[in-house]
Amino acid sequence: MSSYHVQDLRLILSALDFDLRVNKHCANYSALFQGWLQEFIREDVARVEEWSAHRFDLLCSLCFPTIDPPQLLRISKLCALTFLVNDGCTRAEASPPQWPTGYVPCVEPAFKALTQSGVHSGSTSYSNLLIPEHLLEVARSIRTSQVQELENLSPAVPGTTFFRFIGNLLSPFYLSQETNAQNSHLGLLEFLAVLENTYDRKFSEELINVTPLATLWRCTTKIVMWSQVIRRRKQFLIAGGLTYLTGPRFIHVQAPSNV
Amino acid sequence: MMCSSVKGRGFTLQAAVNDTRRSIQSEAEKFIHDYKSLTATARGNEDAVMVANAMQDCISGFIHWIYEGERYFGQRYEEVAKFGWIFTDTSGASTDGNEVDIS
Repeated sequence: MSSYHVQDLRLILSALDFDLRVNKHCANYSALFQGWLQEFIREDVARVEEWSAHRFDLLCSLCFPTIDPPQLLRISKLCALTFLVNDGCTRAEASPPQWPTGYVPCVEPAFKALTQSGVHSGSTSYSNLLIPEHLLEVARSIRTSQVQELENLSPAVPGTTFFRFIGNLLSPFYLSQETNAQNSHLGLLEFLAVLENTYDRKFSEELINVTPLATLWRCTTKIVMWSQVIRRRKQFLIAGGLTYLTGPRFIHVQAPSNV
Repeated sequence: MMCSSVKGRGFTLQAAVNDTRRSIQSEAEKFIHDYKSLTATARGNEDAVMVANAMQDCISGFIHWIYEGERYFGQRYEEVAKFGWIFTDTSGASTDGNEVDIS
């Protein structure tokens, strides 16, 4: 038995006057989200318990403290799907691949529901990145091949997909510092899309070019990534240990040239 | 970062954790500096300020969230949140079954 000590990361933030706010609707909407989650992964009781324990509803209540319950529920669903895709991709990269039982079958209907609820139906330039029309095609391909990596699937899939969106959103977490510096917009575009959808507003086209935002985004991704590294779960390790340092493991797409 | 510190720089796991924490603190300080600079100079650009605020909320929310569930600290997350100690067996697996070290 050995041990190590992690100094409280929350103290860093409080010393620097980072605000911490909790959405006032957190308690009320939590039951709604848990209900959706149970319906979402109903085929696998163990996974319902596992995912309920992750408390994605709380995460979104902390990260989006001022939005209303409908938006809070939407972003929580997207958050849960993002983590599910992330975990699923990581497990698929293991040797042998470990796609969770029922992974694709449970993602598919949930994604349909999200589409119908308008999460990805925004009309702005950033929101257009979220058009998921090819998700089901990707999902079917994955279900057929079961073991094929998403990178290998991406060239055959035209247009923007949900997986690609998620991949870009998460890519900064999987890049080295050097690579990240060369791709300062990677992931920021998707973050803006999330904000547009969540806050129901339209950003200016030039926003992506506001230099300080790219800098702040790099800081944000590093802090979030490294705070996870301090306590690494098995699922990260089975992906190969150094994965997140050596390059993106998701579909790597450069920011569109028109932004 | 942590595994590269352990393997490439000859750190112990504890030293690598400490190194990672220092890096987080450094980035947080940089964020706050740039955030204050942006909010002071970006008057009139409400979008930029709104996005910067959202990033700050996400950092703060995420860091606090990892102490509030089992995803990162396992079933004993409340103890970790309170005391900061994580126990592993000699094979590199934590006592709740999740591996923590690849050295």
